[in-house]
Amino acid sequence: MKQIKNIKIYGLVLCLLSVMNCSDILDQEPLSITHPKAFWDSQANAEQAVAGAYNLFKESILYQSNFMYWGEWTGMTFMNSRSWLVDYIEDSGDYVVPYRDESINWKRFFRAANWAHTIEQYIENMSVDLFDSSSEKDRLIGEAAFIRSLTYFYMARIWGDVPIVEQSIESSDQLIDGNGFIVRTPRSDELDVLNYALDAANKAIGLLDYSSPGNSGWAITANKASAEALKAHITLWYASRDNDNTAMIQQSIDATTSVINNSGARLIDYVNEGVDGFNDMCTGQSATGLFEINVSSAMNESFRLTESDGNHIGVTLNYPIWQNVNTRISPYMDPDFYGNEMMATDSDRANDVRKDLFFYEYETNDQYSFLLKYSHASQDSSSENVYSLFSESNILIFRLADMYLLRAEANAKLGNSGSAIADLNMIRSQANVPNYTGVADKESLIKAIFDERAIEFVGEAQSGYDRIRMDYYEGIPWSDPTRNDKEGYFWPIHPNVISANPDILQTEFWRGRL
Amino acid sequence: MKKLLFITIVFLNMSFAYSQATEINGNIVDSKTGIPLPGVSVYAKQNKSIGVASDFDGSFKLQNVNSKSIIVFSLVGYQTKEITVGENTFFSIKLEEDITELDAIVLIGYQKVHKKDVTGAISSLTSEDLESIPVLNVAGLIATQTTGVQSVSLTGAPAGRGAMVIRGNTSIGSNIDADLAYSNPLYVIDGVQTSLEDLAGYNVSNVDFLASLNPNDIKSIDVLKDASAAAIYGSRGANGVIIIETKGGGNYEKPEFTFNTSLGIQPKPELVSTLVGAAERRAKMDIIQRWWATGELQSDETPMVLTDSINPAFNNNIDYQGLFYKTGVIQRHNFSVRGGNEKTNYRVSLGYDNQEGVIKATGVDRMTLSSNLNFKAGKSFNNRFITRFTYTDQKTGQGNPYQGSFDLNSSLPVNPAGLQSSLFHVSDARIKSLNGELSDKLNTDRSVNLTLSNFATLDLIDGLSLNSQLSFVYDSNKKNFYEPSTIRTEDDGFASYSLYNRKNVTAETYLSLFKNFDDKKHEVTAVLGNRIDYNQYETMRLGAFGFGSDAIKVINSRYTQDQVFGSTDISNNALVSYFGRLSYKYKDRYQIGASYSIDGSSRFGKDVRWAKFPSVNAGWVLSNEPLLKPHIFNFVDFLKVRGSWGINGKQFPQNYLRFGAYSLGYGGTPLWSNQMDVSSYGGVTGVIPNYNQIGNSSLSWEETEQWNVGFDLDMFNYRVSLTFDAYNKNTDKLFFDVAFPAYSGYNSAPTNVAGVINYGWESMIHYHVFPKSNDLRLELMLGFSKNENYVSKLPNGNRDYIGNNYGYVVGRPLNLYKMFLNDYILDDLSQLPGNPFTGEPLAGKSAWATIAPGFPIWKDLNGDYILNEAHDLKLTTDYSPIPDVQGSFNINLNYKKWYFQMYSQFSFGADITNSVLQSYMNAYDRGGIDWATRGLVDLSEHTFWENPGDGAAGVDFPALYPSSPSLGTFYRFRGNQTLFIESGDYWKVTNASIGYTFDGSDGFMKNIGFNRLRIYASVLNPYQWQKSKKVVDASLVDAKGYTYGNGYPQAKTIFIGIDTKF
Repeated sequence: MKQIKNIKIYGLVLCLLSVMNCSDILDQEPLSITHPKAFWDSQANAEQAVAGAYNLFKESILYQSNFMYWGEWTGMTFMNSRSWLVDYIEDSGDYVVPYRDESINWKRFFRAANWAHTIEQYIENMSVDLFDSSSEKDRLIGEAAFIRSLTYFYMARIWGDVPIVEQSIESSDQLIDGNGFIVRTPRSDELDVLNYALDAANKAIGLLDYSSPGNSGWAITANKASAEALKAHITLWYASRDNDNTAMIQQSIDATTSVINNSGARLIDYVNEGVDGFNDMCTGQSATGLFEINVSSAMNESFRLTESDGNHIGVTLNYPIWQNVNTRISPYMDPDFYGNEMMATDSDRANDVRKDLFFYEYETNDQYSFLLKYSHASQDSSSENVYSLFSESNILIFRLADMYLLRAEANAKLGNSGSAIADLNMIRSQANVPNYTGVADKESLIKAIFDERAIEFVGEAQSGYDRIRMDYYEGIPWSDPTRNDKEGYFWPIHPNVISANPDILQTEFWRGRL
Repeated sequence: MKKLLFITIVFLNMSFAYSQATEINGNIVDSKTGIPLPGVSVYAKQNKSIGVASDFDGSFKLQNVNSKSIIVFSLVGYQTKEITVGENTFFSIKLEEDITELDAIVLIGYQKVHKKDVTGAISSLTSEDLESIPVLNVAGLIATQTTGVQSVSLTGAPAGRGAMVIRGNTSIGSNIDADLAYSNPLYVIDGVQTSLEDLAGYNVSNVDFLASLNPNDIKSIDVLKDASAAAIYGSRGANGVIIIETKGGGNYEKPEFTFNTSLGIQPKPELVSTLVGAAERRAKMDIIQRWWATGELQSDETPMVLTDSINPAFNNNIDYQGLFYKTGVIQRHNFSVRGGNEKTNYRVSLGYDNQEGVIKATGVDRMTLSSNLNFKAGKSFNNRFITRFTYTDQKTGQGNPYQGSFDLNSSLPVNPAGLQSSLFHVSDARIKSLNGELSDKLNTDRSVNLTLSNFATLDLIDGLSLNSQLSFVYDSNKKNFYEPSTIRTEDDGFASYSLYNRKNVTAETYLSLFKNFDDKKHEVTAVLGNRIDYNQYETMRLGAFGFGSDAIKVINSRYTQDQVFGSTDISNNALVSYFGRLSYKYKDRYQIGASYSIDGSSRFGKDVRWAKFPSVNAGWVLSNEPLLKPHIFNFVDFLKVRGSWGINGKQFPQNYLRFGAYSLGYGGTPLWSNQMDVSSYGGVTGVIPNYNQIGNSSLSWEETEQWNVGFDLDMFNYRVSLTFDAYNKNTDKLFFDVAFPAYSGYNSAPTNVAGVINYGWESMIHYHVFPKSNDLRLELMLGFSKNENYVSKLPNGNRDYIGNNYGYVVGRPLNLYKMFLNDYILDDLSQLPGNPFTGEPLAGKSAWATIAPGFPIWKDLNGDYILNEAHDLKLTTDYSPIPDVQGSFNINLNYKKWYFQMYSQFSFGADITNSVLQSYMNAYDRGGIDWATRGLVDLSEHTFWENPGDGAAGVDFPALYPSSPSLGTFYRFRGNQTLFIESGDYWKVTNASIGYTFDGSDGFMKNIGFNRLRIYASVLNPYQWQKSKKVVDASLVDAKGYTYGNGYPQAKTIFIGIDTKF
């Protein structure tokens, strides 16, 4: 009987044991993933989150070479394209680029912006003890605010009105109501969007410090001057969307001045620095850079050059970077295109050194001339093939020349033609272009500044936005006053974006066209 | 186990008789097995007060009887026996088992009941239903023996993965994998619970879960279909439960050995007829000569493979199918021994199966070892220890699921639609590779499963016992793959290895009560317990591309660090459950019961982690009702009505959905040709949220609410038995990926929003044509189930979900087709409707060819006189891939010691898509020269449009010719058109066997030392009827209704075998 009693005790103990420790076992902490509750505990992790936000922005603009479609081909300056996809912008004026659904979908931008917003909130709640110093904590918040501002600014330039997401979205509960309906969010007025971006830019300016060339992260991560450059762009864009709002123009002048005076950056003297100066500028982190997207094989952040219309390399380069002449998607310097005519006919441009610096065989072979800004590359050491190259060209977002020309534009708008011409000549002089001698009225100056921007920033996806901001549509067949009245210079919104969130109203021009 | 059940003690009022007292004694055993029978009521017929119950060892002692006394021996489940005492005082009594369906034992989860006491919808089968069929996997047989259970075949490959669906599919989703989109039940094998989603390598391995179980070890299979039956498994029972018990030891005079062996062959199947060599060339040239312009025929538009008949590269006549198919040889051996005594007994079984497939380099090798040890300590402690080990080595031929899920449809080299033209030259190495004989190629899919389980029972007091089951399960699936440089277009070698491990630990403790009062008038049974289940998974995947020797098939130093890639993962989950069940029976007539379980899962957030799963049930045996008895026809032996209601749950398989996971190493370089694995920005690793899936700590249980009413009827001396059940099963809070608005940045996330309802009825009738005592016995069995399936709820206010090639509409069955609706085949352009505004006739979209006679004309749904995908490609509500009616028809014929057996199953009402024929013909109208480079199936059985009038005459298909510059592409044979929808009706005989059993009455048996010898011949898949003659096999269809035309047939298999017992 003793044995049985023992067994009974064994049984009861077993029973009790198994009833206990039940609830704890349900809190299984994952080893394979990291999640918000576990992640925000060190500066190193915060740095990684910010790096992720830069990369989200990078993906938004690089995806299928979208930044070129949004900002370059729409401007129709200098460079025409043989890619049939570009025809949808240039010839038909129909921005709905086939098989490029993502060009009319803003999802990727919202990823970057929402993540940046989430980062700001989490870092603000982290103890300062977790950081090397309180200024490091501020810097990280400031960089995130910069990315959020930059992203909304891009969306405002591409689509105009877009939804503003002022919460950190971390759970599907925020997106689905109790009845399984998607929470809808309408588009906000573009000026509200720009204000939201401006607030974030100001926040970044308040938190970031100036840097100087050579410092780690110079130009490829945001510093105070990057944020001021962004602010200068936002405010001037705002002014042009709000009847030349002079307060905004003034803010833009102040911001550009601050950048010019404090950033530590300098202009590239194309005449004296020549190819080396140009190469430095394009490969990035140069003395003239304010903000650019990093592409570098040394940092393992590059990609192979390929002849594909899915990336900015493929649509801008040609033989001899490629093994053979590409007749399918390569660019060509269309004599009818805005800019080429000026270069050919304007005597001021006769010795513009940028023709030779920026292009391959610009004046000798317009059919197969191409832009060199994305041609910088290094050999892929794992391949014997000399055509296996890694790209080394950064994506230039803001640089110092832009600030001079923005300030010139702002001053021109305010009627300060003297200041405007001074800044314009500053840029012209770097490229061996004589001083501006034309009429000093506002309209002529805007054209002169647009012309200068067209050549200076060719291929940097600025001219499309410049057209809208400067209200200058000369040489663009798709543009007419009716279309512009209906904001047809903005990109349409993908129908799927609307069907998933029916509060979105299609831009007037595009209604019924998709 | 019977002794556990009949703990009922007959209460006796001993009284002393005055006549001359004799004492008799003896023992009582089961006539068939020789196992002593405890608890047998032994009493004098004349005076029931003189009675005892037999002891645990079957012995009895009865006093106060005389020589004229008639002694009655009775035990539930056995035929009552009477003897007259006479002169003897010692009796060896053998009781015959009284087998009616009602007395069969049914497992309902933590308890066993008699079939007649069941109030839920349960189908059962026993080892006898299985033992004479030499299958590797019992999955297919379950469907022939039960109702409401669909056994889904995904391939004819030996031990190949399939699925089981009980009472209608509820698997719904925005991006379903048609190979996996089935709501599989919970399996409970010897008390160890496994849901398929919990398995290691599920959806990656080709091996079916039930193939890890040796059919020879199975004692019984019970399928719990309704909510109350499954309720004790609360959170996991939403898709039904299949309970399997394996055989155990027993009380034998001496150990009993069984040895079974069977040998079989799988003849080369009848192949899809293809044209080879000159015949192919001629047929193709005939087509283009009939349709193409003369200029095109003479131009280089005509593929060189057809015209250049002297070029050795193009003048071959390779019969691909001939290369791949062969006769498969199958051997199956099984050895078991069982023995012991009442206190300690055991069974050990060893099985080996080797089955070659009908396709070269396919097949399976399996070894199973199982042991079952029982011991009893004292009077009240029982312990059972179960070990089961299975090793499965499946050869998958060409196809290998490197890392991802196995694409059953395209990975075999025998897909008739994908065969290469017979004209091409193929290198020897390529041929060897294709048929799996290339020695440099490595391709394995191996699984190991080990189960250790200890089950202890302690009888506490008076019908109350304490039970504990502790289980440890380790399963592992690993795949090795090497593709040599000789057959890769990149000329490098490709090696991969993947490993999926799972460790499962389960502890269950529960009290069970079985008690009756007042001379069995009242009977109470109850279970109350707790269960903890913990799973841990480890996954490893490695791969490498590189140059070097093909002699080395593993990943070693031959590869540089850059060439090797891989990942590992560890994850875990836990489930805690508290459960209880109480049932009460009054006078064998009325029964009510209820069960309740509270379950918590680590997969859900804290606030929604716990859920409650209640159920109630009731039954009424009308035939035992004195008031009704006079009004019931006298041929009715037993009639019971029963009903139940309950809620069951299910959890999703992902372990960490409740967390908002961050992705590490995000590089943001969206370039397809990227050669650099970018993971940082400015040198700092990038971290972002996982934008494919947002975290949600409020995700919770999926729920199924089900009611069931039914009756059981036995008539004509139990020769006819009929079971009927009607049910309504409402599955709610199903996971569905809701597409998120772009402003969130997230793509989608699963939410508990969708609903699916299945309702219907099922019935099974058994008919013994002759009395059971006859020499000739014929049992017919017909099962029939009708199920209606429809979607009841979808996200976003029930908005239709339109996916890639399927979709959902509330009120319609699952997985609707998204297709163009074929209107007619055009005979004459004048048939085309004209746009009244422009006068233009109906046209295809601008990219397509101008419509010409012989083209299929689809319905212009939006009336814009233009056919295009945007407006005319819609979800069709007229067709559904879900069958309406399924069932089985079985015959068991016995004459003396001969038996014949045939099982079959049928399915009606599904609309399936003939994707095989479609993808074959599609090559002819897509542009390009696929039509010329692919093989040519003999199409002579189908009719194609040739001349005006053929359309009206009802030809099968549009004109068949390859597009050329003058004959543009219209996609006449596109897959998404109703032209290819066929009836999925079929009736399939799954097996037929004939055999003869020798037993002890055959004199020679003693000489050779056998107790039993059975010799049989059996044929698997002997016959299939299907309504559609165009599809290859109407029973091989994926969840979306597309036929698996991968060329792996469910081949006929012929066995001969012997079973011996000694």
